[in-house]
Amino acid sequence: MVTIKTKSFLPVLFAAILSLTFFVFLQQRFFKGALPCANSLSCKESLQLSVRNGEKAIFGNQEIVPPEIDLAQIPQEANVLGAETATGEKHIYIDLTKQTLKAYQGDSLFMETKISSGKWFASPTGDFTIWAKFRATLMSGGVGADYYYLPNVPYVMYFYNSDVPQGKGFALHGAYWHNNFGHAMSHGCINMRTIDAQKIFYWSDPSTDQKSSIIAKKGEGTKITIYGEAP
Amino acid sequence: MEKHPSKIFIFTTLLSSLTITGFVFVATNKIKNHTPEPTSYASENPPEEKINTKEEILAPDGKYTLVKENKTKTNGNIQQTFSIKSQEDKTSVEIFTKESAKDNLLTVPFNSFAPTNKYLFLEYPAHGKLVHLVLRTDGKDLTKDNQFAEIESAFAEKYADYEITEVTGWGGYNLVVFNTNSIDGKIGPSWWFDVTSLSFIRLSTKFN
Repeated sequence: MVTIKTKSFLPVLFAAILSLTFFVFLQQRFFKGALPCANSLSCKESLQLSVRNGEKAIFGNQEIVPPEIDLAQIPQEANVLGAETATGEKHIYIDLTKQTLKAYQGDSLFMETKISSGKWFASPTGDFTIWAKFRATLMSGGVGADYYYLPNVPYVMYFYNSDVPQGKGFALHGAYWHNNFGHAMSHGCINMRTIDAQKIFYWSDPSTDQKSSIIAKKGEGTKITIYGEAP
Repeated sequence: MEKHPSKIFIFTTLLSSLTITGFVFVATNKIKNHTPEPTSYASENPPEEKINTKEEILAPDGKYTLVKENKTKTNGNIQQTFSIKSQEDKTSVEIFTKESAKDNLLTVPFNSFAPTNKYLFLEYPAHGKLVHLVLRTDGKDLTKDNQFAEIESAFAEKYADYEITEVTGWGGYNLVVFNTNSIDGKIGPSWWFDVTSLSFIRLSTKFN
């Protein structure tokens, strides 16, 4: 009886080990593709220009009034920052440990400021490229007390790399719903003060050329390096 | 012939005397006119205080500017005046004034403004710690009785087991975020200070 049981048990064990190995392989192979969308409820909708003046926003169980956005109003920065005198490649460095951002053109420091990276979901690390810029969009996600609905998110700059596809919706953008920069506060994106996001928006490539949205051609977008670990 | 020179001598002497007297009279008057009035050190109006520094801090959305002016007083203290200037209509409202010793000056933290720009907080060092004051930006009193709320003293009154280690910024429209340690030094929770109700909300999430 014992011999029969062992004989029948061996194939089952073998099959289990094989299944487990296959599962681990799948996890390793496709884990990157399984990265959750930065804005779980507006994953695709966030990837386009969206102005929703008059709609209420919700963040941290609070109803808030988003800033009105007038696409016809082009700030002075849109003209001035296109005519910068520094030369060299533009590069944005984000230190998650210190929660800071530094933007360089060549060796010249364009901006240094505080940011808020992912708190509820981690911001991705690595080298990225800006692939699209929108003057404003809608971002929504989370559940329960963590639910958020944020129309008119200003100065959105989406970035990607081979591990973080464009469709995942990770971006640098302004944040009007909190002022706690220097501390992790987001769902994976990089939050900035609106005044800082505006400057980076008009400084970085692809140039908006005073348009409200732009999709970068291949190799055109400003490079972003995100490193460290949020506290 | 002998009397004639005497007359000339007397006339010359008289003329000289008159000239000298006239010169002395004019010179004396001139000196009098140029003598400065003695300075009254007990003047009713103290000398004008000099503006030492003026700093402008933009709100995160760029719609308002907080202007901080420091004036040195004659007693060595600094008079600090804070005003809010609207970028849209350029109006300016004085919101707070405080006289402090040089070591206790108010500063404007990076995350000072509430997201709505309706409130802001300032900080100053006292007894080796930072004290935070929350104010309205329209110049009105924060509560019925007070122009501002002091976070540290209000918190200590209600939660003696914890002490504030860092006030970080605004987690919402009216919610100041701060971290605490327990009195025995262990890491404590993060909290919200709700400016509208002057209440404290203990958070399950730690905002490092």
